[in-house]
Amino acid sequence: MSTEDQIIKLLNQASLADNTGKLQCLRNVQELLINKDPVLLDNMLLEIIQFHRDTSADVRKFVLGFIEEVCRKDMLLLPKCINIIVTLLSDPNLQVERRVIQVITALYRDMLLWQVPQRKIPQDMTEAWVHLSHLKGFILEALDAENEGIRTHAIKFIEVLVLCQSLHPNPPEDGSEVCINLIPSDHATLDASSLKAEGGVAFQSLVNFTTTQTITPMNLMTSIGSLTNVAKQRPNYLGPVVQVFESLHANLPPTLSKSQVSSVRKQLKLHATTLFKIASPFTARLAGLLSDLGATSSEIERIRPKTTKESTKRSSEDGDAEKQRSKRKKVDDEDDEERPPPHAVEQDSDKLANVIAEKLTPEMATELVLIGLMELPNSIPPHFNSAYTPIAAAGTKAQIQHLARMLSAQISAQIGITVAVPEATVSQSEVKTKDPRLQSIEEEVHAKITEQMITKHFNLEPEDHSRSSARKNIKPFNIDDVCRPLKTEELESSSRKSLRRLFQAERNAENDCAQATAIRHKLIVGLVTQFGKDFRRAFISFALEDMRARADIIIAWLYREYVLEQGYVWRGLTPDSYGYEQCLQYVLHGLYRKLDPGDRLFTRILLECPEITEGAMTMIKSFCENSDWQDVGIATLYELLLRRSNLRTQMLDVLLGLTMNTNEKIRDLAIARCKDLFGISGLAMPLEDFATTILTRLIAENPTHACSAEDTELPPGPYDKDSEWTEESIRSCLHLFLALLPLKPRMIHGLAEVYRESSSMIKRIILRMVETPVSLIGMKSKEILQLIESGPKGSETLVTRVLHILTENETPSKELVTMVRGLYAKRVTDVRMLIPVLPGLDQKQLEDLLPKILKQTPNVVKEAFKRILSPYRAGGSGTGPITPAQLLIALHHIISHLTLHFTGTGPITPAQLLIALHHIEGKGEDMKGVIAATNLCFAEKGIYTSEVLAIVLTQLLEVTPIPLLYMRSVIQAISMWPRMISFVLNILGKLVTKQIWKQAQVWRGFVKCCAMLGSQAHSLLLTLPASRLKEAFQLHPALHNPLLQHVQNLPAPQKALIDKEVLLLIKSPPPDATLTVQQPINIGQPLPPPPFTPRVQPSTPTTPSTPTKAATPSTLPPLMSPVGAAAPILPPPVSAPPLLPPPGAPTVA
Amino acid sequence: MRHDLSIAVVCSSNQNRSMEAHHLLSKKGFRTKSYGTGSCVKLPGVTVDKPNVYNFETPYEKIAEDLRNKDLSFYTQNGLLNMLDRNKRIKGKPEKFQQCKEEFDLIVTCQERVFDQVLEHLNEREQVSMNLVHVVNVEIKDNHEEATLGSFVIYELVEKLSNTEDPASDIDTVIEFLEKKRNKKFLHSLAFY
Repeated sequence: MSTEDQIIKLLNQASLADNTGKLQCLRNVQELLINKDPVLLDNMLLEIIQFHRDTSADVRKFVLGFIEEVCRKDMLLLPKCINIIVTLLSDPNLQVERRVIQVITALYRDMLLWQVPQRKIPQDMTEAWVHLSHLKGFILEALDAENEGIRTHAIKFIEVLVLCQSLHPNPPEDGSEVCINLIPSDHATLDASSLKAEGGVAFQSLVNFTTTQTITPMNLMTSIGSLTNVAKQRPNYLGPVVQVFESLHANLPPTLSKSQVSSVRKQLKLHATTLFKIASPFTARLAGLLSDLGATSSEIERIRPKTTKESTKRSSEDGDAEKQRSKRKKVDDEDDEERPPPHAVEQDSDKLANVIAEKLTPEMATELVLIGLMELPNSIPPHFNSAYTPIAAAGTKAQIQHLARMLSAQISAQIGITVAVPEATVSQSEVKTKDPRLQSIEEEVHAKITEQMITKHFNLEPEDHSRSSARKNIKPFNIDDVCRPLKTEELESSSRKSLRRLFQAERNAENDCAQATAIRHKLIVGLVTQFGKDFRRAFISFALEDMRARADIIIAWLYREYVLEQGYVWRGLTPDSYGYEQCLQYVLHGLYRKLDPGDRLFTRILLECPEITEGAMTMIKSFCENSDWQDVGIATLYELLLRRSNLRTQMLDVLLGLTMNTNEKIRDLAIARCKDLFGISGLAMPLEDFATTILTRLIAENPTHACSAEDTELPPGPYDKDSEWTEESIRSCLHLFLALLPLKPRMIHGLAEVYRESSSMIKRIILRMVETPVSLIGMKSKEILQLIESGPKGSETLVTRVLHILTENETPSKELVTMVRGLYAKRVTDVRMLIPVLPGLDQKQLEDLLPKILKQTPNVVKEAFKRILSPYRAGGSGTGPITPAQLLIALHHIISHLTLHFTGTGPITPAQLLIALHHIEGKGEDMKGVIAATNLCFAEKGIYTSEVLAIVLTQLLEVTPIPLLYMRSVIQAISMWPRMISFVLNILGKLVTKQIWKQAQVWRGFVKCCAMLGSQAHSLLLTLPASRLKEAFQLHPALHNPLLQHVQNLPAPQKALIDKEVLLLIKSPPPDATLTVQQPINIGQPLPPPPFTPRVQPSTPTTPSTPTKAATPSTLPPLMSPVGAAAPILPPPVSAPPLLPPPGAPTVA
Repeated sequence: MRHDLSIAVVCSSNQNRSMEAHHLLSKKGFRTKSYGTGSCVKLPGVTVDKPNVYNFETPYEKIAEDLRNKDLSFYTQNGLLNMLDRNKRIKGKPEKFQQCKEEFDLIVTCQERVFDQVLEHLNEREQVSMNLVHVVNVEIKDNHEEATLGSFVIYELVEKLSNTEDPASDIDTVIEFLEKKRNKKFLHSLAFY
């Protein structure tokens, strides 16, 4: 089996196997391809890298490893793989992502290595290189990645990048390593200088990353290792790396735990040792560092590198930093260009260290330590114990130098700027010496002090970079040397700009504190008022932009303007004629234009501004009459009226003027405010005066007269020029007065006076409008009672109206009733006066009054009855002076002039009333009124129920003679309450025993009632004596036939009980139809059709036309005509219906 | 998911502490190797000043045989023969860390000096693969009891780490947790192959 077959077989297996098996197969394939048969690579590559889409992260990682291996073997295969790498860089799995960075790191180096010797590079390789360079950017950014592992690998990438893209001290001839030196200047794809620059930048970013205070221990250790690797292989970077190490030693990130501090220090020591082993100008510094990190002197000596001649010399002069520096400078001079960017930092730090070293005298050191003692923390910091090492070579020059360097590292690290440290500053402040025994403590504390000192000096002295001339060149400061007068335009523009900045600082000032806002306001207002013109214009437009937020500053400005105008403050050199009034106008117009209608800011500004000018007043007035702004306008007016006593009269006049406004809404608002004001002492009087004055205008002949007659001071009403009183103008004079009336009922007498004297039209309107205020005052008010008792002559109608209003929904109080009765007795004899108090009277009084009431017009009667019965209505108290039954009975009695004396002392009941009504009957004249009255009673179906009617009818039955209206009421009752039929039959029976036929009118009603009852009354009819029955037949011939049938159908025993005479009469042929004259029944309105359909026997279906047939409506038409209708009308004589049964009708057998 | 970490346990002589941990970790199913960093294998002798010294190529069996010949009862009593018996069942002979070419994910050392030596060695190698290795020191005294206790600490460390989501990044958290729990300090560093 050939290798190829083997591979294919394995690949097939791999695609089917599970993760572990797949990996195993793929590893085998890799082994075969790379080590056994690399020729096949080109063909098989794609087969394998297609696994990069595998779901398993391990397989994807394998693919990456495979790519790395393959490209190492044959770089020309990279173009085929580069896309996979790009894809996998955004893999969701962190381990895969890390692996990608790792692979890119390796490939980047190898690719450079491969390119360097190439003269001509194929197109696809160039593209792959572009890709790689692109990926480089991503990885450099990964230094800020969230995942620690990714950052770690990014550090390693930077290490490789710096190594590849820097100068090698001894470039290897064989090309085993990449370095800038080896790249020919005319290389096809690589540009040595830009690559070198990039390397420098990358190194610096690594240094910066290492020295951040938030670095994690793992990244820190990685960085230390990488920096060491770089420094080890590229001596150019040794200096900066040592610098970083020293700085790290002095300033470990504060986030590390105790064990992490030890670990990091260990790492630092390990790598410092590595660097120390290389012979370099930094050996001394590294030795110091190592000693600080806990290496013993013997250890250091053991690993001290074998020195060359030059370095021996150097070490002998160890500690003389200046010389060291100049030596290095010599080296630098040779390759001045190649010095990496961090050099500048290092050099400055060196300078600083030298300066510090010079000044470290024992006295200064003691002083520093003493200051430092104050800053000692209460507990030992975690890393102090592990970091503390006894100072071996204390007090030697080298040690002072070392200490100075540490201090400078501290200073640089703490302040974050090294370049800018001016030497003069340091030399003055940092006069230091050292005390070896206290050095460790000093290390702990000096950072803070130096920082403070340096910051202080920074603030005091101007920066001066030329260190040598710093001291010599100081000249006394002369302001004239640096100043020149500005041109006017410059002045203006800069002042405008500063004003604009002040405007813009709004948010800042607010965020800062209240004080800042106040200061800002003061500044702006001061500037604006002092300079006017442009400033003012700018301010106004600024203020109007957002008036709500800037109300405070607007008010501040108005005050300032006011104060200036009043001359309380000197106005400055250029007073301009811009007055306070105008400013206020601007603001108010701005408010009107910018704000939504009805914004309360208007009120606020007017309340707070120093003075209300005439213009402002006009503005307020116009606002009050503007439909959008009226609420705010009137509210402002009201507030001003309350709070500015000097404006009170003026404001009141305006407000009062508005109470007569034609616009109802404005008028109502103004009147409501007036009512509020009425409660305030000192304002009630003027308001009342005004209202009364306006009211008295009504006495005048017309509005024009009215106005000319009084003082002109009052605000003119809208109708002053009218020559005639119109309803509108009359009303406008009444509104305010009537609104105030409930607040002060005494004013009603004034109204009565005016009423008396005014024309009938005005009277009518007053009567209409007086309702609300009077009902508000109520009947308990003394003033009202007084009015009723002693109202001026001519105001009776007003008094009656007032009475009506008072008793509309309430039972009249006793006082009122007494008063009205007194009045009735003494002065007014009109019974109508009493109507409102009727429910307040007792039964006797009421019954006495009934006849008088009934004489009134139907409307009045109706009103009176309504009032009498009102307590019995649904929801009423149920205890009126007279019960409905009493009322009805009374009505019945009236007719007979009988006065019923009810034994009970209780109030009259409806029944009593009806009874009384019945008694009233009699005189023909009164009859109509009484009938109407009873109709009124019957109309109250809710009160006159069947029970009440039963009481009435039973009571009246006892009266002899029976009241005239009695039968009418019976018929009414039965038509209203059909279920009363048995009761009625009972009554009818009693009437028979009372020989009802003796009262002709009642008798007629009786017969009619029997006719209405039809068959139900048959047995009753049979009890009548024969002569009376005959009479009945004559009155109502229609009765005969049904009765005949009834008798025929009776069983024999019953028939036997019937009086023979009667039987005979029934069986005798009916009297001639012509003989029966339909007598008008003189009881109210007759009933054209019988109320009840007579129950015709089923055996008489053929009866062609009976009166019943003609009576089509099955329901009773209303018995009563409406109260207001004319008196009962007698029906026209009805032509006799064919009463005889047709010849073929069945007859009694 | 348990990560399949490759682990090395390193002590001075690859006899007691590293082998104890190797034994436990293998039993628990971890890919484990063990090494020594010393220049040679040293085992305590009858007196303190005369240790038994072998080079790293000597198989455990040979050492045991040698000790049996020297003083069977003494070396039985101090447990050395027992230990060697266990060791030879794990692997043939001690290995020197500095000579191994393998790459690991985690190296656990049992002594600070060993930790330093491991790091020194790792840093002196030329970097090729750039694979990350964590080095953690778990300080264990060189006797049987401590070795047994220490092996459990090492096991807990490995167990915790292999169960984290991302062992390469989460090791700090694990160490912090263990430091609190055991009230011990663990040195931790990292290096690249």
